Amino acid sequence: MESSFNQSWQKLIRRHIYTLVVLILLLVVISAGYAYWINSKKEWGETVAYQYHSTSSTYYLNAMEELRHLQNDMNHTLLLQSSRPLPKQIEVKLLHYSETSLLNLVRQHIKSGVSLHEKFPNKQFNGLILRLEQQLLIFNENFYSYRKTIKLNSELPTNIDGLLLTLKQLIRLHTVTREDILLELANQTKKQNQFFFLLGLSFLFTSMFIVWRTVKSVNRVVIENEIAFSVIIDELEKTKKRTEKINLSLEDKNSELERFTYTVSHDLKSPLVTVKGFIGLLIRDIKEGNEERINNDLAKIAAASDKMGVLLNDLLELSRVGRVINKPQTIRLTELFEEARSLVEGQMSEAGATVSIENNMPSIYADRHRMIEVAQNLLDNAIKFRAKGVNPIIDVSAEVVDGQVHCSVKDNGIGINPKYHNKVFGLFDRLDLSFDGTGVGLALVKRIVEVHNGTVMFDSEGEGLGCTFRFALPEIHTE
Amino acid sequence: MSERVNGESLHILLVEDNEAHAELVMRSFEHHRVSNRVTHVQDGQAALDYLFKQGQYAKLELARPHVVLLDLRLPKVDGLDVLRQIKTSDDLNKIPVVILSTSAAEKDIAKAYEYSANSYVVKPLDFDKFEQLMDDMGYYWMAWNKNPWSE
Repeated sequence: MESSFNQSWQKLIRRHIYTLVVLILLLVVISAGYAYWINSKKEWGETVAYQYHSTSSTYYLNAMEELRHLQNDMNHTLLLQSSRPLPKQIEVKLLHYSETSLLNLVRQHIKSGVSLHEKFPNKQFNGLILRLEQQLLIFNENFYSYRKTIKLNSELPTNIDGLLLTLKQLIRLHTVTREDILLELANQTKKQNQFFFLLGLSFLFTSMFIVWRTVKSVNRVVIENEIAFSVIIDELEKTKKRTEKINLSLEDKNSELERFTYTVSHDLKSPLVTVKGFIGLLIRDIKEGNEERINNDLAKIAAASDKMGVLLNDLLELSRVGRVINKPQTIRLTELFEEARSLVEGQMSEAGATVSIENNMPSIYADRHRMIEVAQNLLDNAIKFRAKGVNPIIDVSAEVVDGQVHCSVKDNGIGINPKYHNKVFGLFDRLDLSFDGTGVGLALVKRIVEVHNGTVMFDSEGEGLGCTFRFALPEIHTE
Repeated sequence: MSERVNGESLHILLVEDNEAHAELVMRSFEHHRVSNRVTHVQDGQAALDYLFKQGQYAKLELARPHVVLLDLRLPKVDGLDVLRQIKTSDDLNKIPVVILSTSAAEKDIAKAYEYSANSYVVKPLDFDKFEQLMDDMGYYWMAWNKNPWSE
């Protein structure tokens, strides 16, 4: 299973290799593009910084010029007479606003709430301040988000020279330098970098998620296919096993038939050899007039003919099993053996045998007529193979083992040497020739039980130690 | 003709479960004065016991047969099994074993030779042929055949 799973992964990778390659290429292109964009932005930033630097330098110079110009214009010392102190802190917030609102905004953003020209109502001075403010703002007009707080360490001087000096310094301070721009750009780039990093990351995760989902769904399909295939394969294997089983049982049947034919031809030929042989001897004995031998020859011929008749009858009986099938029915084993016992009463009284049958034995589902033959043959067998001078005692009992009824017929007869075990149920096999018989009885028992999908067994401790014959058939539950 | 060429009679071990067949064999031998020494056993186990001097024959003083006539279908121990045991025994494997069976099945013949049977003959149905076979066989093993051991 595991190896097939690995195989499915390999298959999957093979199948989606192009998708993967395209995704990787896409990632590479995006990274390259981003790197290029960042680089160009930096270049752009440099350009912007340079332009602003020159612009602000120009404005700075202009503002200086303006100051000098106004100073000369006024020609006299302007004394500042103020009852209120000048603000200590001026915050100049430079934002990217339209020109019309600039002044108003500057006014608002002068934290003291008092703009310089309000503070100093002198018109000329006011104009100067206004222009200065304007210059300052224009310097930074396009430089959005640039913010600077001007902290005044001391009060603004009250004489015009001092004030101008301070204003000069303020202008210098408020002039955006190249470094300021680059710093600001670096800040912005950093923020943008973070943003693009997160964007890239999310793109990566998204694509990974998509790949994962695709792989998962494809994998699911593969697994489903695999399951479907394994079901089909299972079915095929089952069919194969069934076929093999059928073949095996056919082979069994075939070899059984072959054995049967062989045995029959051999064993039927045997009495024929006897008959023809003794007829030859008879002719000679008649010529010689040996009466004793003539009688013997005739007796042998008669016995061989009889035997042939019995063999043929038995064979016919055996061939009926499995060919002539009576309707199966539920049979109580106790009743079955009681009936069989009544059929062997003659042999029982002759041998002085006792047959005890267990009460309430389980039931089986089988051809009743055949099962009586089984029971009768087993009892007959137990009586026939009795030990010399011993009255046969036969016990019939049954037990259920794993849903199978094991029925035993136990005797105290001559027993069977275990080394001959494969000759017990064979057709025409006889272990002891001092007993009459054709060797069909137990073969018949075996055949009938096997036709009912059962098994036959026997065990014996050995010669002279009795014997137990057993057959096993599926149990039937009766109310 | 009841004596071997060297003046010794032929000792045959006949392994035959069918009593009538055994009688036929012995009377044929008798008629042709082939042998006065036929030991007849009725099953494979008895044959092995006789040859290996065990069981009921353990304590008897027994002559080793010159030839074994062996039927195939025998009670207790099958003829082929007896043959196999004789031919795998270092002591007995030189005794000629002739299979004498009613079976002419190819399988039996092949198996018998596979187990080193010395000859395989099928019991003829016809009595004249049966007698002829016994006569020929007796004569062959008595007069023509040389045994590997000297007595």
